[in-house]
Amino acid sequence: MSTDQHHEHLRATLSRLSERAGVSYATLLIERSEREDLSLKNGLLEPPSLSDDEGLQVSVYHGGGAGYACSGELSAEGLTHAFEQALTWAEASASLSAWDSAQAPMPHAQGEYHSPVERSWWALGAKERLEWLGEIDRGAPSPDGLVLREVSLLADRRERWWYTNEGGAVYQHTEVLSPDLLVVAHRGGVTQRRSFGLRGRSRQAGLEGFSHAELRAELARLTDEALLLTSAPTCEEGVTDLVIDPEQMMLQLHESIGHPLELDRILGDERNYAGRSFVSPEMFGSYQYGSEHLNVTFDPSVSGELASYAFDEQGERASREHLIQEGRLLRPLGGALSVARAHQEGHTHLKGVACSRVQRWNRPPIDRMANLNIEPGEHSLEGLIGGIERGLFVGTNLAWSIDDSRNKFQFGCEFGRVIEDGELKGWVRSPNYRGVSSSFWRALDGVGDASTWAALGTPYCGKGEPNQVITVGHATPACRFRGVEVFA
Amino acid sequence: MYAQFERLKAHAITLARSGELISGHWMSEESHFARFTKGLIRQSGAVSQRELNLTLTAEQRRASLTLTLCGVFEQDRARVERALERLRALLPALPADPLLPPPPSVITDVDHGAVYGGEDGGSELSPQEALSAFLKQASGLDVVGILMSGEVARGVFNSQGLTRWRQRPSHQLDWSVVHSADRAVKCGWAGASWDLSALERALSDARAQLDALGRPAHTLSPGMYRALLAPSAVHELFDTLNSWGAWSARNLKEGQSPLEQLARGERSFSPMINARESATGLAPAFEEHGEERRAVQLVKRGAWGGPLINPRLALREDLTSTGALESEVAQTFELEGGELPLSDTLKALGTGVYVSDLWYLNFSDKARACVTGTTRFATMWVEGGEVVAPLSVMRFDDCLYDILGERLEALSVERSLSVSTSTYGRRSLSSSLCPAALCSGLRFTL
Repeated sequence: MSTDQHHEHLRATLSRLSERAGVSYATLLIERSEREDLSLKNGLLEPPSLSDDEGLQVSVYHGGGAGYACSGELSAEGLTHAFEQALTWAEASASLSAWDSAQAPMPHAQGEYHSPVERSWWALGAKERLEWLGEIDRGAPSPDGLVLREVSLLADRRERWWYTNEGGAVYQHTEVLSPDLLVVAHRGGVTQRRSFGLRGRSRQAGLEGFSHAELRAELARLTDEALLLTSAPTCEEGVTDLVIDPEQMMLQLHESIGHPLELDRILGDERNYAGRSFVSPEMFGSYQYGSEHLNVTFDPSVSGELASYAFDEQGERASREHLIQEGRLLRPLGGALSVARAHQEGHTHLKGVACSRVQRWNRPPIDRMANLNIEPGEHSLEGLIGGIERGLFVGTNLAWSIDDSRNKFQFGCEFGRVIEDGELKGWVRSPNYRGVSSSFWRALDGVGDASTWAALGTPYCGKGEPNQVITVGHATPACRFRGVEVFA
Repeated sequence: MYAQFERLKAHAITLARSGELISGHWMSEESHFARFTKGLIRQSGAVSQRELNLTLTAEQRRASLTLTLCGVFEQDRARVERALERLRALLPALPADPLLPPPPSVITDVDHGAVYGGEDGGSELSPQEALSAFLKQASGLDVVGILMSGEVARGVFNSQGLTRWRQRPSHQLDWSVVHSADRAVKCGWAGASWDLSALERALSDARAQLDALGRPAHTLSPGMYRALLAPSAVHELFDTLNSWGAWSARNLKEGQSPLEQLARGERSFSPMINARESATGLAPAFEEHGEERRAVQLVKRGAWGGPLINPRLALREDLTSTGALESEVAQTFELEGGELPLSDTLKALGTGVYVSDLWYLNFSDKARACVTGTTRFATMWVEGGEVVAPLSVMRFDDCLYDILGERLEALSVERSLSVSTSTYGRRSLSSSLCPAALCSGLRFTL
């Protein structure tokens, strides 16, 4: 039986089961994925780690309740059993539900999405793939003091089919490549690292998205910098002006704008685990989140950015929306279901975005970031730095921590450069800075232009009960902040 | 699950060709998850998943593939055969690795664990019944959290005849009773069968703490304050070390362990600190290829005890394996208790901060084991041994060698078991056992 025939059979089964049980709305998510994790440590290949994964998820809305069930069994029997389990939970939750599923959106969307790939990683043979990785490491320097040089690649291709009991059908095919470089140096009792930071170069792309020459040059640069940092001083403690590069802005944006704007968190779902938010529903439309230079978009349409897609996993068509415009808070990161819940709770002014996402077939959809970007401004990097008399240029995330209301944060960076009289001077190692989200973004006084902008992302965003780790894209320029507390 | 494991194992080992070693690491669960918020169900469902990490070793080459199984033998057999063919195609492309560890000694060790309703004397409720009963008990409270329920299994086999299996019924509730905003009492319960009276007691204890959480918040200026860390907060400190591979022999070699200074003998903790990885507990007694997971003294009287060593690294670095998992992360962490009865801890604190929970810990200076994070849940300001008021959330940034070194005044006699609630990908089986810690100072920064 072909995939099309098999899925047609499952769709008919879903419709039949729904009709028989009197279920008004049911969805079926089928996922198939392949993954490879290849790594060279100091030139030696680690045993490759591969995975083949497939499974389904059924969601049932019934009688005001809802339930889901996930199974690796993709047959009609497997679907039937999963449907019954989901229905059992829907019935059990009907009288105890925190929301009324009868009032929830029930889309029957149709459409497709494909990652922009010209030369697929998966078209290479096993030997060619190892050679592709080895080519990055070929001729890499091994100077004294180098403890670890790791060159790795995570490749992921994923197909998702989403069906409803009344004809909804969405197909999305993504291919992600995530090359990563890590260098650790130890000299004079000091250990320092340089890397791409949390697999920040991950993107939807084929081999055309990465150049061996560029990756080799990056490896050489990171090696030089790690060694240099072992003899660099720590930064002076105090309040100073800061220019932050995109590899750190990615985390700053993620932790202190992305997570606080998640609507399920604002509604209280995450209070036992990932936390709440200092943002409340009343703030949307009027709250000044940052300075007038701050423009933040939810944008699933950036070609090649890590979390681009056409539909979320509740069948909502995704589109670019401003969450913050000229510093003013406009929309939360809330999928259609969370928005419906918010409306049921009286917050009828809220509009959301298509961000109900699952990590994998075995976890239900929750509000996630997807692509969350800061729009470019008008300054070159030189212009941002030139506007500072005494300050610090910091980059590449090393450590991150933020309180459970997503307010008091502290970040560590892999490197810092002293700024004096508008020019970059000496290096400092492992600079830290801290602040409070609700005031930090108001100190933003310069946003880099397109020449400073980078479409980054990470596959490591954790949240939810049960836990889910998911890909997020963060495109951001370099940014300048005034009066930030920095320390070693 | 065991019958499926056995049948698939029996087939897989027949596929081994001359000179090949086939080994499998099975991870499966039949779980129910139900989130609740404000005393009502938010999202609930069931997850049935079986994963097999299949490893092929031949001609000094090794590669692994993790595949999802469906539980139907004919289909799973075909998936295993396809996976093996893929690994066979990959192996010739790999360079020879002369330092692949030999397979562990052949052993058959099958442990099905407790039967529902037998071990704890609890009741055999369906997850729907258990959740309904709990939410009824919690009536009038703003409870938020998750119920996790069902069988969890891990198994290992190889084509030389090794078989190890561990299966457990596991029920957990992890929840918070929220007073308002970020003020809450964090609660947890785990067992082999539902114990509604234990849940009732936990809710009752939480109710008793809500009054204090309703008092006006006490706000601190940054600075050093005496602190009593509850067992859950102590667990967070050691979990941060452990999850970042502090005792990983590989991390030590690669300059990435946060306890490098301890390992080199340059720093130490208080002599009160004795920590170990236990070989028993909830986690399986074997690593991914079936080698026995052994107990390791991690910290002895405040000094470095020893690292966790995976068999593969042991061979590469000429060390003795401790049977650690590939991650070289402790699975059953135990910190020895001290001499201060838990009932006397607030009195011993006098005036300072009672830290019920810590949150989002990370290293501000990994090489020096300096950690930052924030207080969370029912963290309170204490005066004269009496709880005065909830504390507004504070960030701390301090070095563990100091907090658990010269500033450590006492550890409690009693210890609390923390069963992992991690469900990233699958339900975790790790746990930790920690006492409370009384410290003469904790440095708050924001």
